[in-house]
Amino acid sequence: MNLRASLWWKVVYARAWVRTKSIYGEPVWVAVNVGFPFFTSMALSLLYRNAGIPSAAGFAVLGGVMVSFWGNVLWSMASQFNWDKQQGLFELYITSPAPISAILVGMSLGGILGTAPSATMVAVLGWIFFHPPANPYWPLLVLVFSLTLASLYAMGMALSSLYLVYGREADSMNEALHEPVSFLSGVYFPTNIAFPSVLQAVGLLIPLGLGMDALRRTLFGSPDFGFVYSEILGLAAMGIILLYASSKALKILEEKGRRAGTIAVRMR
Amino acid sequence: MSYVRTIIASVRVGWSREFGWTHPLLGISLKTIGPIASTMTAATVLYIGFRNGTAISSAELPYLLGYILLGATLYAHVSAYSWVPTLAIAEGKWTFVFPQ
Repeated sequence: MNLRASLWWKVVYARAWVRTKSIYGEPVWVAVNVGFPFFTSMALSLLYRNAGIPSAAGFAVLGGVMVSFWGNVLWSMASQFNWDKQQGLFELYITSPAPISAILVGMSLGGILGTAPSATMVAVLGWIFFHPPANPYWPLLVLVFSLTLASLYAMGMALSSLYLVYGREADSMNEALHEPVSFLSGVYFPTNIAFPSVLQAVGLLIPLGLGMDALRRTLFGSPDFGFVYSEILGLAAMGIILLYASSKALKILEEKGRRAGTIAVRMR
Repeated sequence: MSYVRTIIASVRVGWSREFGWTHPLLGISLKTIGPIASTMTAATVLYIGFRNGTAISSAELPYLLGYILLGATLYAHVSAYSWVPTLAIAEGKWTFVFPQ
């Protein structure tokens, strides 16, 4: 294996390890990561059940699982470089030989590994309490889920590049994005029975919206590849486009930051 | 009196932190979008339950909708009140404002 490829994988592993360890190093964060999506998901599942459609509780449980990852994308991917810049770590990243792309991929993998247990707990508890009827074809479900996560985290990488130019307003942007994107994407409900066509189309332009649609079809609809092949193609295309956009944006913003002297700012 | 001055100073610092980077109206609008969206999510789930389920009558819907709207907006406030001090203390520790 050539040296550059070896360095790339070592950086991925290092960044992923730190991210995973940090999530489990603070018990409060484990409780927060499980609690927030769990209680919202349970409340909406109870609402579905008491409205007379207990089978729809599965939508809310699935939503709770994906909101865990969406929150991780926003707060641990998009904002991370901005926080690293404030704490002086980003300066170390760019002066070291570690490729930034490897750092981003490591952050994504670490985020997925760190979020998976809380998402699994939401799914298991939702299953125990509400028994949503699901009929998945597991290989297809794994493929759709993987593509959804890949495109979501690619979006997180693109946002992390953009947030480099922001200061504190990055947190305000995250707060403004989190719930509206969840709503437009139909995280807790199928958009085809709740939204007019225009809003449905807007939701399908967001990786989370397209992924939720594909996951609902795979889990609760027909377990057939033909039923979701357009969503699969869409998710794959989004992932590739967002990955390319994030690498380009990072290069441009890094160059701009170096020229203007704003690439690395410490809190004083 | 020193408590009053401390509180006023904290309010000014908090306002500057939250809205100092933009026009206050834009900042307040950005803060409002999230709670509105989460309330609309809950209301949409109720609407889906009403249209597709059998347990909610037309007479009951306005009361249930009011209940959901009240709960969802109250939740948005409660979660903000619990989050903001937690974040303030965490940031204070990172920036060494609080004694360690």
